[in-house]
Amino acid sequence: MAYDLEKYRDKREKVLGVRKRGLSFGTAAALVAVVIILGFGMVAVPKTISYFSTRNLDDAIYKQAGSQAWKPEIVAGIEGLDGVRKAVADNHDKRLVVTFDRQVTSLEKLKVFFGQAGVRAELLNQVGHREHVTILEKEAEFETP
Amino acid sequence: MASATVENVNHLFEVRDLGKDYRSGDTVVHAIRNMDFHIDDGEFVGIMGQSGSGKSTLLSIMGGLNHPSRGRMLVDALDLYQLSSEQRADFRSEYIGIIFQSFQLITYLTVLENIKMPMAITGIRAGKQDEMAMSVLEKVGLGDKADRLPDQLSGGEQERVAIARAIVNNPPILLADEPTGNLDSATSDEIMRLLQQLNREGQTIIMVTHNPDSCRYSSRTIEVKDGNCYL
Repeated sequence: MAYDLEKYRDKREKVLGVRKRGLSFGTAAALVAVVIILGFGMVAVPKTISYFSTRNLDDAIYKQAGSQAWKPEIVAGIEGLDGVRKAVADNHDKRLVVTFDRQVTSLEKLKVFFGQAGVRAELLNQVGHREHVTILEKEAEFETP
Repeated sequence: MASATVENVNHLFEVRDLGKDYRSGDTVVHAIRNMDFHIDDGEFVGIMGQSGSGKSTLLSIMGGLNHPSRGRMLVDALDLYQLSSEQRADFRSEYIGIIFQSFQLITYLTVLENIKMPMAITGIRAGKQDEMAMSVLEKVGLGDKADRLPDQLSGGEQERVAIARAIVNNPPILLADEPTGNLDSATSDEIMRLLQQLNREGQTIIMVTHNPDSCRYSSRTIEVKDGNCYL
C-alpha cells in the first residue's frame, strides 16, 4: 500500500504538540500560579498600601480640663491644620483623638493651636496610629456580646 | 538538535542503520548490529528469529520503548528518538497497541475493566469507555464474558482480551511479542486468524515470533539472526 503522509496527520500533530489535547501540565501549572499570586496579592497589597500610608501617623489623645465636651468648631479647626489627618471626639465627646503626620506637624504645634483657641487641653497619651487602631479593634472584640 | 520530523519518507516504518548495544562491565553485546528495512501501512510482518537473536529488542525500539545506540527509527515521518520522552509517550498512546506473550492482564479487574484501562489513560470520557470496550470485545468474540476475571478464562480467551485491550484506542499499529508463545497449536491458529482478520480491516501488524508456523499468516517475514536482519 502506498504511503500516505496525510492519513495519520492528526496523530502526528498531537505527538508534535501542534494539536493540543486538553490542558497541558505547563498551562495548568501557570493558571494555578496566577491564582495563588492573585490571591496572595489581594491580601498583601492592601496591607502594604495601608502600611506605607500610615507609617508616619501618630494619635494624640486629649481631654479638656474639667472634662468639658469638645466643641465642633474646635474639632473642625484642628482638622484644618496642616499635617492633621483626622480629629474625632469619642467617649461622649470627652476625649479628642487627633491623628497627625509626625513628619509634618508635632504636639507642640497642636498645643499652640489649643492655646490660641483658648482651650485648656491635656494630653492623655501619644501612640502610633496603627497600634491605636489595633487596640481599638481588640477592645471592640471584647465588648461584642 | 535534529528535527523530529523527516521530509523524505516513503513508508510507515523506516529503519535506517539501526544498532543497539548492551554493556555489561567491559563486555559489549551487539543485540542489533545493523538493520535497514521498511514496513508499509497495512502490512502484516512477522519478525522471526531464535531466542537472543535481537527480535524483541527490535520490537521495543520500534515501539518507542528502547533507545537505539545508533541509527534512526522513523514512523509516519516522525524520527522517534529525536522526540522528547513526553512526545514519545504520546506517540505510543496515539499509534501503538502492544500484545504481550504473557497477556499482562490485571488479575483483580474484570475483562471489561482491563480493556477500559488504556482509554482511561488517554482521557476518553467514562460514558464512552463502556461502549467502545464492549465493541472490541464483540469483535474478538468475547462479548458474553465482559464481567469475568482473567483467571476465569482460558489462555486463548486471555489472549483475545489482550488483543482487545491493544486495539481499543484504535491505534494504527499493533506490535505483538510472541502472541502465541503460551498457547497450544489449535488456539494459536485461532489467535493468528484473529490477527489476520484485523490486518485485513487495515491494521498494520508487526509480530515477533520464533515459530515459523505463525509466520504463515503474515504477508511478509523478516528474519533476524545475530543482530542482523534478512528480508
